[in-house]
Amino acid sequence: MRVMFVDDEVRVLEAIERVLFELETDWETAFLNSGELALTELARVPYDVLISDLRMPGMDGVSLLTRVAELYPRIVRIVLSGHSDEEAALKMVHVAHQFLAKPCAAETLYQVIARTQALTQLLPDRKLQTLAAQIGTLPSAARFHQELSALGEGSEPGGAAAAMARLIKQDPGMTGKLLQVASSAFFNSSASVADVEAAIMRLGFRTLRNLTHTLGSAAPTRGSTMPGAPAVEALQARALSIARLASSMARLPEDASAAYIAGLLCDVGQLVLIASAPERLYVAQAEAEQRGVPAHVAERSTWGATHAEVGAYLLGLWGLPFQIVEAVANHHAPERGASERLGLPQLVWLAACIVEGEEPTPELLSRFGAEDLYATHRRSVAEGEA
Amino acid sequence: MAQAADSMQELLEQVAELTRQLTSRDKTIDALMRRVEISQATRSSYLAMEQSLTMERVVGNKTAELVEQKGRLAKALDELRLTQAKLLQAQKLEAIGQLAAGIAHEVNTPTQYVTDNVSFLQRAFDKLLKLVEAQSQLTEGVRAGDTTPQALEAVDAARKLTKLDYLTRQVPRAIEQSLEGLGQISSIVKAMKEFSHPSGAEKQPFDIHDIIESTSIVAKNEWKYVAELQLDFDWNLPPVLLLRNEFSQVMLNLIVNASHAIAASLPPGSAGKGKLLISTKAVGKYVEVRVTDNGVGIPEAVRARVFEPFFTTKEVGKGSGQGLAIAYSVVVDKHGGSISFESNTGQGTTFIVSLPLSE
Repeated sequence: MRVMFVDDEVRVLEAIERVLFELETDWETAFLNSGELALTELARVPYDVLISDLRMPGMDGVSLLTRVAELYPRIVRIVLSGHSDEEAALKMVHVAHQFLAKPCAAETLYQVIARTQALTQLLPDRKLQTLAAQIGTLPSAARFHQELSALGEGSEPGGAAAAMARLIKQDPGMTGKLLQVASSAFFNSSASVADVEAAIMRLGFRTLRNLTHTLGSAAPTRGSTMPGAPAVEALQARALSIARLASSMARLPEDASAAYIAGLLCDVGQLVLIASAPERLYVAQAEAEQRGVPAHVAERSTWGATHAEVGAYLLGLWGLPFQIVEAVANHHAPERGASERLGLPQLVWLAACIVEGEEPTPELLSRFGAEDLYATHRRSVAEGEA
Repeated sequence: MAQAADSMQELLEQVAELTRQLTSRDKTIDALMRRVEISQATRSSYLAMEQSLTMERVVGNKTAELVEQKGRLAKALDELRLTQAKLLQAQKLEAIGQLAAGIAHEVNTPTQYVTDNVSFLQRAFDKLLKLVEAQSQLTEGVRAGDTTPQALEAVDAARKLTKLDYLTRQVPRAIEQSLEGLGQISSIVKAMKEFSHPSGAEKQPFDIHDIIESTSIVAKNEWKYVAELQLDFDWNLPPVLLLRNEFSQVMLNLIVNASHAIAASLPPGSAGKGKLLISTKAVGKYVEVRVTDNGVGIPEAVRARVFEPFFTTKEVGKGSGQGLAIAYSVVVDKHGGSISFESNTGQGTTFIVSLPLSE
């Protein structure tokens, strides 16, 4: 893996080089002193990860990352900056996958890069990596941003924040984005957030308004014109059902919130494809119908990966908590995790099976001791529908 | 800041209103007096006496009103003075607030590389220690007269693991750069402390260059991306009697303005930098401080207004229009000096501050 660091302060670069040397990584690293030099080097050799400062004389970080996103969309773009103001953070939302605030511990920097490497092993297909990495904002349902901006006019901030949380929790794209921003070190925390209310609290109401405003104005033209490709609204409704079911299946109340988020986000891979390559979804769907198999099976046979890995790859790039990324990645392959117990990936898997009407194999159900749980919830969903 | 400015504005309006009222009272009294004079000359003495008694009552009432209004005016003026002092403090807090992000950046950057270097040194030391241990064992063996090939191999292995060549090159640089970083952090913290520490109401002799230097450090993040700073000091200047706090605020306002003017003159994304020159010299009984930039210059149309309070050409939220008004008040009213500028549109501006060398 090739990693490039860009900073106008040479001493920052030299110190990172020393630390990485002592950590004995197998990464090939380059250290460039300006945005201009970085672009020249990128034109010469392909890189996988770019970690850049923001304020630099000449070409600044935002311009560099914007150029890199255009020219080399597959490169994972990370900001490492001493500027911790909100304005800078909001500017970054569209051009960077993750933000790290200086001073950033060597271990954190190492883990962020190592995690990116692990993600490329999860989704080795470079074309699919590119499709995920070039997503700035996921599509939302048509009415979402209107409803969001209509919120809180005239009402007290506390009530508006609660209403906003309720609304955001129904939208996978905005939830993912909110957790990305709140998990970023710009908001003074090294811990990533897996809870919408906690994320809103960390950001503050005003910042949240600014964020949703920025995102609303930049939301991609949503939905696809491709006949047969699923509509954003339908995907969202399904995600919401999976989220609610997964959280109601969680045994411990503290797991319910993570199960909800993982369930809501489990199909963001399909949103990625709706926004960037709807024809792939169309082809997979046609295949699924023709062979009478679930969508993820058809996806794997046509693209060599599923929307689960694509979604997990994006959420991983965004720095969401590992447990969420893992659950999203394995929600159609519960046997992939090392654990034999009924964990987060298995909960989301069960919920997705019930909502999507896919029958899990008895072997898998018994392996996780989930026969009763499955039967009970399956029955109650069926009764609810009838 | 906005609050202080608002209350200042209100007070100014109050004073104007009271002055207007006083003037109109004066006119009323004049008119009454004239009427008394006229009636005394033309009417009978009884009528005249009666009228003059009424007049006296009226004049008495008016005089009492006047005295009361005078008191209110004096009080308003006192409040005005107090508000002016608060405004000065508020503008300073505003300036610090605007600089805060930049100052955080100036501290965070060296902290980043000092932390990384120390983390590197920690690992390097662990490895070196292992090498030293292996070598001690070898030495012990030699001393005891039994040298085993294993001890020698252990030293070779530890030496290989240590990458001694790399450490020999990098450790001294890591230490040197860590010290530089810590030096930078302390210098900005010290400058910050000097800048924000209240200096009292009495003028005291100060080395003007210390103040200029620490102010330029506090504002470093404002100029360093757009300009090269050059200090051209006359080191033979004697100490100057100053209100340090106020004077450093003047310097800050001039440096920040100059940086903005330079930033506005650079094409977006250009790697070029402008020039910011601060010089001092003695001119007769005055010390002259010049702050010169090669930025956009002050447009001719607004040159007459730059020292007016609330006048700003910056976008909303970027400047309150108080910086130069306060600089004027500090230099002229509080130090008995003068402040002026020379500007060429598109070529730059020089602000010239003159302060008396001795009182």
